[in-house]
Amino acid sequence: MHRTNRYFSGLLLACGLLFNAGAWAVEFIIDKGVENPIPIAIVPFSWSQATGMPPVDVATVISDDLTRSARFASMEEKNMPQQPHDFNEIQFKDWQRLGMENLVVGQLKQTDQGDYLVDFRLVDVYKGKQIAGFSIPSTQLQLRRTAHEISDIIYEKLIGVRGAFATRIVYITVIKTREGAKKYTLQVSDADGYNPQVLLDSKEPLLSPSWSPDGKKLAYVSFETKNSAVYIQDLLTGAREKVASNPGINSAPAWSPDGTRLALTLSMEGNPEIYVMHVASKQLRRMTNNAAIDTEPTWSPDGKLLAFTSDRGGGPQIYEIPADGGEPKRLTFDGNYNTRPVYSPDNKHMAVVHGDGNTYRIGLYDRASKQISILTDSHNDESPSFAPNGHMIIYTTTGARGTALAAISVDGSVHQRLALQDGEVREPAWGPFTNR
Amino acid sequence: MRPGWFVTTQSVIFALILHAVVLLLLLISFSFTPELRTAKPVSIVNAVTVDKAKVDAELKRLQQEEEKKRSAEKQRIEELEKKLQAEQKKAEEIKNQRLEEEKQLLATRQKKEEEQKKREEEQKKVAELEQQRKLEEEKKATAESEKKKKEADLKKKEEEKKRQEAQKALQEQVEEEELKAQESEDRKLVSELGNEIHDKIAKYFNLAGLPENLSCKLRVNMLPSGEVVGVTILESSGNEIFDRRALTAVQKASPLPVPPDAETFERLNLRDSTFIFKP
Repeated sequence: MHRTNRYFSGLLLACGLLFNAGAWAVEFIIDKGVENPIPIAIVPFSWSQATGMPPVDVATVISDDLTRSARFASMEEKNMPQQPHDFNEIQFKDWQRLGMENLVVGQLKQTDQGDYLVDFRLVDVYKGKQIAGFSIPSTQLQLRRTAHEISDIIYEKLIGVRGAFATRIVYITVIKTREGAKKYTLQVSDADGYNPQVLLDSKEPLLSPSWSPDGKKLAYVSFETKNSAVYIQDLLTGAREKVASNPGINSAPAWSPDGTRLALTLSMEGNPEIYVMHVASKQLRRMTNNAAIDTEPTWSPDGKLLAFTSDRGGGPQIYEIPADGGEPKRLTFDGNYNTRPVYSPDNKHMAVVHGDGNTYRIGLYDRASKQISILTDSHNDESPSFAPNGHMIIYTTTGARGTALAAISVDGSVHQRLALQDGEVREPAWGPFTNR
Repeated sequence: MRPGWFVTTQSVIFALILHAVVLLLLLISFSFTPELRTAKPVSIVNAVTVDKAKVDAELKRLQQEEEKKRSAEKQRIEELEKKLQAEQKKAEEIKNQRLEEEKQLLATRQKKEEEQKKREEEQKKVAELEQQRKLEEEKKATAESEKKKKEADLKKKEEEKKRQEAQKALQEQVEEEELKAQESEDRKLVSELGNEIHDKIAKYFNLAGLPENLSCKLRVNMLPSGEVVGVTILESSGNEIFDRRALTAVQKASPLPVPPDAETFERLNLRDSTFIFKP
């Protein structure tokens, strides 16, 4: 992909000449560039066992990760001039001829104990030098995650920002049973949609899952008691705690960045308002007081601000208040419909659902310019959630085949549906980085 | 010829003639004497009547007269002898004189000869000197000519040198002008080349995901073919990825646009140039 960009507005000055002691000293100035996906070739890893297939095609997992990020252009296996597995086997000229800049070679080994070892090297083809190389112990269950971790390392080494491939997402699925009833499940999967795990299923609606900042707990809304209630569930133990089951609406929990509080929408006082609950003490503090609906609270990355959706101005728009209380301030003025705000990790943008009366699309609100740019081009896109590195957004998109998870890079260049099972997928939330 | 012999012969003849004359004179005087004797008897006859005393006296007087005559004759002979002697002496003197003269003449001749000899010697000497002089002159002339030649050569050389210098100066001026023209042309060339290089590298300079306001300086070694044979970082941007992308861009853009001929390539010092990346 070749896009013009801000760099093409540079000076036309392309070179300078200096005369030093009668000798020419030519200086060429390159003041422009392109923003292209970075070429990379992930050579299939060697497999230590003589028979059978490796449990995971590590190279393909990495390749798909990088491609999905939109920052990389992965070379297809059939186009590779050779398939080296170690640094010494690389014929650099062959790869350079194809314009290949980066190469990943590796070996998957199974130990006598049945565990796995993944060796890989990231190589700069033009320098002929290794950029990174690791030997990562793994297990059969962890192999995909290990592959994602390798993707993260590659991403960081070549882009300069930590990759978010070895992270997880949480979402709700809705399946229609043979009896015509609906089955709701709360699921967690890898960021690429693989390895889904059902945390909870219910005949009643499940809504609004939210990650604790340490990635160990989830808060969500369940109607299992016929009325909405907010629960916190420990991912590892499965233990759950009902933290809000007030009369009326109990919805849209959002964990504060420090993990001590939850922002919620409660209508226990008659009108849906934004509250902040201290998780340990369950103490509530009401943040809004307005006859209109105030909902979908979300925390700024520094925890100092809360954004939410309110129709106090007529149509639904995004407002912001200080997390310790204050006057709400309207942020969005583009169009008649802007909802579901979520701050980008760098606090420079917000992803929103932007509606124009016919379509609902994912928009990117620029906090500095106060403008919204539209990232997606479907008719019904909802529930944006930023990857922890801020480079991607997952969201749901509803089409003829139902509602599915999709991912888009923040610069809007790649859309990709995530591989998931049948059924409707709702309200994805991208989990935080977890310790390596 | 020997003039001395002639002189001697002449002198001998002269002496003989002189002796003959003297002898003749003596004979003449003898002949006169008898005539005188004849006259005397005449006188005696007349004196016959004279006394003996008178005759003695007369005889004595005659004796005396005789004596006187003899004495006179003797005196005359003596005188003649004297005269002869004187003449002999004179002749002797003349002879001596002549001898002297001859001697002198001889001396003169000798002198002359010596002088001649001397002169000849001198002439010889002069000739020798002359020859020597000539030789020297020749030598000198040769030296002179050589010197002149040398000088001429030197002058010629100097002139040649001057000419060459002038030529050189002119050439330098021309070259300088050419250089200036070249320089201006080169600037244009480098500017055009810079644009081509910029455009080619910019196509490969991937800024995706990089922060703004970074810059780095690379040293690029290339061959006249434009092939990049070495890239090193002179000044890092501080961002490892930015630096690497710049390095990759240069290498991917290889071969870089270069002047059509190697000469221009070398003149522009393109073998070793600096690339500044500051998007």
